[in-house]
Amino acid sequence: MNYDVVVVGGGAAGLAAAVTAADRGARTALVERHGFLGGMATAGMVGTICGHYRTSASGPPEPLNEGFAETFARRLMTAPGCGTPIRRGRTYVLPYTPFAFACLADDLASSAPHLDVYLHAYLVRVEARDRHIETLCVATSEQSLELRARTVVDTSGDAVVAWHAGAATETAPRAEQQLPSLVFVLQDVDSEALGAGARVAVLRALMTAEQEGLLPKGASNLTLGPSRQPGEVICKLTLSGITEEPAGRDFLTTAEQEGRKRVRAVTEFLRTRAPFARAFLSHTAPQIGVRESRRVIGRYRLTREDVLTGRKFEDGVARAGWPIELWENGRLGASYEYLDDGETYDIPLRCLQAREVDNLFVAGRCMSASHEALGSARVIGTCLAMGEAAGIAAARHAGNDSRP
Amino acid sequence: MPTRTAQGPGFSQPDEIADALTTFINTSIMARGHPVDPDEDLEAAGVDSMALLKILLFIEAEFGFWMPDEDLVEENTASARALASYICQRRKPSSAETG
Repeated sequence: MNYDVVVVGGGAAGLAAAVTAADRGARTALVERHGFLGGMATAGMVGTICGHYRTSASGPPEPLNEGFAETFARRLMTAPGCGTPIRRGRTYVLPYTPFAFACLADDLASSAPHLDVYLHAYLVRVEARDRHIETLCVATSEQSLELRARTVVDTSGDAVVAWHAGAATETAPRAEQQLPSLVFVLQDVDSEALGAGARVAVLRALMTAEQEGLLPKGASNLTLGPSRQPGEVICKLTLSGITEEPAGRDFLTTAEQEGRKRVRAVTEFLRTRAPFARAFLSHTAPQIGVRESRRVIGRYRLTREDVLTGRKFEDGVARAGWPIELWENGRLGASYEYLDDGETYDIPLRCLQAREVDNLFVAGRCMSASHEALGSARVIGTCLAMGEAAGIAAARHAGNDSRP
Repeated sequence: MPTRTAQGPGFSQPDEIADALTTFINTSIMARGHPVDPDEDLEAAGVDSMALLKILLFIEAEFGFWMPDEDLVEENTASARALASYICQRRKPSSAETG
């Protein structure tokens, strides 16, 4: 199969890249390992689009990027169960339901011309020669595919294309990486009795129980989120302390199993508190939410300084403004470093271009950035915007772009 | 001015307590360059449940008591000033509990 552009990873960045490239006339394939699109937005059940609105202590929500990101946000707002932007601290976020996100992704992908979506599809091999990727070998349970590509976009989150191609990547030592979280959902909670004070009291009780050894280590790193569904509470347990990897086992295997163990223990403990007396755990996200993993070494590596000073670049292709949000070992919750009020920074195209492979673009969590800079740039709103930019660049590189 | 507390070294005036809490919030919770003032609404400034928990742990360490669940209401936790006046109420000699 011959394509102009092959996009690997159908999360927010990959969806934006694939639809944009196809819209510009490129014959495009989108390869996704889950049975639905959306990546962390759906499989990780993040639940809010961050980084799409300007950070400012006052004023209405102001989108940072027009184009795909704003079109996507506007359409998502009209979906059942979704709403309008809500203020969170100094900025706005857009709440959504993962199912609505996946359905909108389906609609956009199926109405894009020249776009083939492959679900339940895994990248197994990359054939590259002379700084050039030629073929991507992809397996589904029904077929083995050889996708020949003029241009490739790695939006896998884990830089799997670059890694298979032998291109330069970086991965921070496990203990220094941002922590993943597992989202889980409780039903039959007395939401009326769970005000701000009660939530803090619950967190305190969890912390004490963990200190007394009644709960597994890390069990108190919990966020209790709202839901529009009466009696439902959407919880997020941040998985600290998983730094030992038994030989031959993936971190993700350990983290998924440990995550489920912890959320069950936390739920059992919560049931001893009045608002949760009748509560039960109905489901977790299909996978743990990964905040940091392997990244591509690009032609430029975005830095903390670039983010916090609101740096602009001549080759800036997406605007971003989310604070540097870090979830790290040894700290409850997250730390936030904000840009100045109203300030934004640019993501330069060079951060989305692999240094060592001429026809490889990248967007999303595996972009070229430092650990701290990624703490800001990894959020869904920014992924939508940089995904679109990568799609434009890929279509142009493949020689299909008819637009200016 | 709010009522003066009976005695004690360290923080005694509500304003001093509010300032101490504000200093803690600005050094331990708020991002660099984005301080809150003692009257600022903490939730609007981005102080979430986990951050409020850290403030309450600070109060526990400094003033020797944990705010009971029933007192964790917005009236008492909305700002550093609100927390300070709650602490002053708690430290009054007439209060049943002592620090």
